[in-house]
Amino acid sequence: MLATFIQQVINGLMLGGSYALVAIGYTLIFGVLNLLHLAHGEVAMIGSYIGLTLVLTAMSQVGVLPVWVVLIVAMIGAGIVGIVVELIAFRPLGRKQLHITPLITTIAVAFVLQEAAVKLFGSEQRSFPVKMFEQLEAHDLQLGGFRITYVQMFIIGASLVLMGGLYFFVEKTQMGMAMRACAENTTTARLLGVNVHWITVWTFGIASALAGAAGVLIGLAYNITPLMGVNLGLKGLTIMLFGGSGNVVGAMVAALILGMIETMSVAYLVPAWKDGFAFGILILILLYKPTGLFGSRLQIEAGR
Amino acid sequence: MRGVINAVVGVVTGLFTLGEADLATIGINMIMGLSMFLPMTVGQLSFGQAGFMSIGAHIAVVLTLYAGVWFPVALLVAGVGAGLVGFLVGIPVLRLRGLLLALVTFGFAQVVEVFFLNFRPTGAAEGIRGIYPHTTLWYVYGFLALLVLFLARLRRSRVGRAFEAVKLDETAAEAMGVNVTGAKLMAFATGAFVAGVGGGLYAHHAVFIQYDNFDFKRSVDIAMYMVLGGMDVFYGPLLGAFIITYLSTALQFLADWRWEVWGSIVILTMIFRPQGILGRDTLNVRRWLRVRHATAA
Repeated sequence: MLATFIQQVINGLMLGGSYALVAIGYTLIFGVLNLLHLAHGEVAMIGSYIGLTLVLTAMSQVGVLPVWVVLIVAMIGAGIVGIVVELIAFRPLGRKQLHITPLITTIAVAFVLQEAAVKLFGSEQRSFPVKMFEQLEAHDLQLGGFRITYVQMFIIGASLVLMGGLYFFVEKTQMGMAMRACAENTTTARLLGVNVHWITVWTFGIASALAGAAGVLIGLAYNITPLMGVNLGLKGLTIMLFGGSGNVVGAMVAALILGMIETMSVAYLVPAWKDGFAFGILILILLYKPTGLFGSRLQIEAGR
Repeated sequence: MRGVINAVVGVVTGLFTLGEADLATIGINMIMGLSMFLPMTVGQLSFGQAGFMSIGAHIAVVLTLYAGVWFPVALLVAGVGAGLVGFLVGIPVLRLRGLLLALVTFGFAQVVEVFFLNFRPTGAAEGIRGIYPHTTLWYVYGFLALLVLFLARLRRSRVGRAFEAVKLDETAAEAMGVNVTGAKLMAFATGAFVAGVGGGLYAHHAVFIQYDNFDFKRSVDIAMYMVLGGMDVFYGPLLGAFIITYLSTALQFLADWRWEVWGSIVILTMIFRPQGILGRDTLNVRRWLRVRHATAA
């Protein structure tokens, strides 16, 4: 009983950690640009396919790659995809648009990315090769009655490291400071000499790289399909609002809470209503605490 | 080059060979586009019209299939049912504005989807089969005509002017004595009513419904009709619904590339016409005449 419970806690941490990486990207883009990027989940999906392709090609050429190499390459690939999305679907719209315009263009991008994934990788469910996991099994931890696999440790560890790194980047570096300035007020930031276009590109790149990492981690834990981005995107959005839009630390905490709620409700309540729970929570938060649990840095209610 | 010309010719000639089923789908989508336009007349972005459509479809089907109710009555009840849900949902939800409202209504549609996925009496995940194909072009375009008449009259009416005022500036409207909350609720519930009737028509056209006929992709499609066609005038969503529904069949010849082409069309439209293809002045004959007059002089 206790062993299964601890297993559920680990599952919750894994899921929450991966969700957090998606949600942080959402919150960064929303914070800096005050825009919803609805193709963000699809960028994560592309990231996991990049990882999968890399593993499969490497396996036929040289052998099994270390997991962290796969993670880093997927992050770089997804980052580039994210920057391309910014250049195609956000930049040309200019600053005068209504809030619904970027919603529509990014949805269009999301559908195109889904179709591209179906075309390139097929619509069936894929997962990382068993051979890769066999090699990693040697590092599994056996603690008393239950075991923690290396993959589980890697997923939790990697998400924690990336979250920590991002926190350091946003709070302590000069570019992080410029990003926060843009989030506060774009016009003032520009007047103070911040290159807003450059910061926008970087924000997209970093947010998308985190999403790519999340894609690989989810792919390691579950499986990869061209439609996985839809669910990831919706969860990321829920978490962003839950934690307070534009609030990076809030997103981290909220992601862990939601990951926990989701695994526990699957394990101990009715699994079919899982998504109903998530959206029920979303609606209640929006209605009664639109700034999220931990406060929002932004005024999004005053829609243009 | 030859290929391009053939493609263009194909798309144009396709217009004259639209079958009855295509026309019905286009009409239903136009109705759905207008259902989203109605909340927009008070500036409310409702992103979950598929939820109301789902409710309407299920009510109508249960009535005709299990209770043997006459189809028009079933449609009316479906509309009223969806409108009532819209009214009840609207009371708490309409305090929000802009993106937040879009998200809440979107979440509402998701919850409706999960509800029908688990609701045994309507077949849960299996959906309902064997629905009578009651929907004819007469029903679809008859209702559409009524709706267009209503919207055309609305613009010049007292209520329509109140909606317009709320859309432009809520505080000013309130100060002028407009009941802002009432106007919003009315527009939102009417939109839900229209979506419910549209759902009933859809169900008796498709003869098979399932929870995921009304998923987020449907909501997005409906939003596309309005945003692409134009969200300031009621004939905008009509054009948008027509273009998108028609292109999705006419672009079949592009086979593998049709999503890329579709995506580019959407993005380009948003770049050059952020308010949609048809704006307030696009079809204003008087303005055109004045422009011609000015150039002549």
